[in-house]
Amino acid sequence: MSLRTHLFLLLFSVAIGGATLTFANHRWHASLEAQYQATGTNSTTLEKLRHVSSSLSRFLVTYDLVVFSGITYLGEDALLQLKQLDQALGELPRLAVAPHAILNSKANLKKVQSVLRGAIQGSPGEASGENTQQAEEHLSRVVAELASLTQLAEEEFKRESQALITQTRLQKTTQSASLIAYGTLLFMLVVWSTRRIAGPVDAISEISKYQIGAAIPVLQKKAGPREFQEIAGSIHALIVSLEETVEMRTAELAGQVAEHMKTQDSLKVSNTDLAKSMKDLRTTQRALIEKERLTALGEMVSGISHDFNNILVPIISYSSILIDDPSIEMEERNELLAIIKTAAEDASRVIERLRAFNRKADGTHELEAIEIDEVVEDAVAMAEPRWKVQDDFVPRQINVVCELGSAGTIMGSTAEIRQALINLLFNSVDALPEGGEIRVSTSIEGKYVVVAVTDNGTGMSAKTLEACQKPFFSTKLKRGTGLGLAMVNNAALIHFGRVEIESAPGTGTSVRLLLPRETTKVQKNALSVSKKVVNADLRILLVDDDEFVLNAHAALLRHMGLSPRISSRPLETLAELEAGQFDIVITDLRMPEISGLEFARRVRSICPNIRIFLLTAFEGGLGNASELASIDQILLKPISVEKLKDAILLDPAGSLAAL
Amino acid sequence: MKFLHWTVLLLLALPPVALGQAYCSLRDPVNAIQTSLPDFDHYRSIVRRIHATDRDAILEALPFTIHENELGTHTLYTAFDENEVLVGIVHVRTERGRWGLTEIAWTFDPDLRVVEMHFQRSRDQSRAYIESEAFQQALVGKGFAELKSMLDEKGTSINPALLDVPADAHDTVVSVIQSALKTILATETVWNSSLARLRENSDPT
Repeated sequence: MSLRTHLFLLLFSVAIGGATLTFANHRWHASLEAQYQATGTNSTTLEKLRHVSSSLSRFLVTYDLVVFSGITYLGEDALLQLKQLDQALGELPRLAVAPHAILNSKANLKKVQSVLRGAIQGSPGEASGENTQQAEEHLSRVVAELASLTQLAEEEFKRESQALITQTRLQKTTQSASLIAYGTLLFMLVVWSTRRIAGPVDAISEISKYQIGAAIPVLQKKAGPREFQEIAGSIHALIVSLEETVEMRTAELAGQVAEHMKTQDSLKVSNTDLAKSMKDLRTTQRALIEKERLTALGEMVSGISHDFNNILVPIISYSSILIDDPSIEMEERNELLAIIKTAAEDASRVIERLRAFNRKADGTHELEAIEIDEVVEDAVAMAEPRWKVQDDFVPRQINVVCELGSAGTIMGSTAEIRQALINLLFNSVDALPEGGEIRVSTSIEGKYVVVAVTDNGTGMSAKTLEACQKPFFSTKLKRGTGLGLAMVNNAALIHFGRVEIESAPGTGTSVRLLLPRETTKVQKNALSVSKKVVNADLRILLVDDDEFVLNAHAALLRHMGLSPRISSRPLETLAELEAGQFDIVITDLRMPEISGLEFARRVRSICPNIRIFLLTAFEGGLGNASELASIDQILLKPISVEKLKDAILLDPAGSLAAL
Repeated sequence: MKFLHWTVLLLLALPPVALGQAYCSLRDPVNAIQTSLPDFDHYRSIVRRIHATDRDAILEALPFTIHENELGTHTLYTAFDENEVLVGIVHVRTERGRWGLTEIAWTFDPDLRVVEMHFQRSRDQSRAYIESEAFQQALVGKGFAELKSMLDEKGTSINPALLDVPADAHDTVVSVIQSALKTILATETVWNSSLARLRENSDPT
């Protein structure tokens, strides 16, 4: 049976029951109404009969008083009452209940009236015994019939009233019973429908609670609407299908997971290989960079040698003159010595640049405030031999023009930027095989400091321009590593800058290195030269295994007014050393008996408050921080009078810095 | 309710003179004397006037009221045998019934016990029942106390424990018994001295 049929039957039953109840109620009401009407009619009849009875009663009393007691003055009252009686009797014919005797009483009342008039008027004829007797008989008959009729009417009214009460009670009882029956029927229908509908719905609900992976619920067939059974069946079929699909998909996923795991293992192996390759690649990269650096160094060496020889020329020449010719005037002697000193200082700067170039990048880029113009000047100076010394002895003229315009300060690594600029200069020199001009300029563009290296050389094609920043790309065949511009680009990146290249074949190349400008004022770690005079009472111990260097440095100290104690035998000096004996110890790093670091450590253990300076010609190979713990300052050879003086005058708590 | 209205109207309409008229016997109770007193030889009537004081005395002894018409002149019939011995007394009372005036002839023995009652006039439907032998036997020999006990305390309804009457005759029976009680009391009150003398004269001792 369908849900529609269920609902139709339910509503039909309710409608039929309601209609039947309404119809029955209507009939009951109609019946009661008829009963009420009948009772009302009887009530009216009874009322009229009572009215007649009452009128007759009053009349008879007065009649008796007039006729029998002789109270004739009540005669008019009696006549009036007789008239009222006559009127009351006149209403009775309208009633079906009025008997024949009463209906005829009106005529007979004339006899009574005649007797009454006779009594009033004292007429013996009218009020004769015979007439009085006839009137009395008539009145008695009327009384009897009226009494009987009234009694009957009362009984009828009583019976009707009782019947009405009974019928009303019956109707109420019937109505109540009908309502209870109808309510019961409705309740049973609702219960029946609920069971018929709720049963399948519960089954659907139970099936709907199914969760994937749980046991498939058993489809219970419950009597009820066909649609619900179909829904339950559909859901059950769907669950079964879903479960099968889930099983199939689970199996597929398991296969995929296994395959994925296999791939993952393979990837792990690949990753390991890749990491190894990466490590090798980095090693190779470092080697290549080192090769590039050494290549540049090699290229510079010939030029440096040339420069160094040139520097040595005045030193050797003028010193020979000064030694061989004692007749030279003091003024001329001082001029020659000044030239020799200048040449020596130039040589020192050449060595310093070479040393700086030799510093290896260790991967950590310690940032410091850099005056970009100074770095540019250094780079130009270091690269200068490249365009001054001709590799192939082919004469060419290269002019380098520096346009430095106080470009300002950046926070960066001096070594990285200087290396980058040298590479750019080298590239420009290589781009000028027949000579030309290299223009190096610095400027400020917005928040960047721009260093531009521009040449008017061969330039690059678009294809070359596109590939030139890629590692290992080179147009120099065996002479190049292909890492020059890559290093420039890397230097720009680690300084959060960028490289812009403009080039065209035959017109030259312009490379712009843009580096973020330091806008805040940076307090440079300036070690200003003090004009103060060194305290001559300072007790200084000078230790160096090379007596030539030892005496040279001792001469510098004495030149400052100090009286140093010198020693070329550090172990003997340590044995004799006592706490508080010296204020400053200046020791060489590399000594045959003991290294300068070990010597300093032992001195510190004996004299905790002493200041120790370490002299060295090599910045590299100084060891780690713990090995340098005993050192207050590192002094690089050759050291000038000014630098030595600054070191002595510096606060003992000053940080380690190579002077 | 309408009956009550009409009654009130009637009472208002009746002239005071009429209300003052006694409901005395309309006819001499000769027939009653003859039928109820077999030893009767002759009778004498004693006329007395019932005053207001008498009426008050009667009312005091009765549980129910009586109407103004009880006042006025009334006649007591005394019956004697041939030896002048009082054999009974007859008192005719007129009561106002539903269907006009009802005339009852009461016959008592010298001790005022009921010998017989007889309707001289009545249009009542219960007349036949009241005049029946069964009801008459219920009255015969009863004095004032017994008759009073036949009514309830107010004297307006039958005491069902002592008297069983049809429902349609109830009001008439009550009226009859009330009539007997009033008659006995009025006779004792108004004709007391005469009766005492007659009883005395009749006493053979």
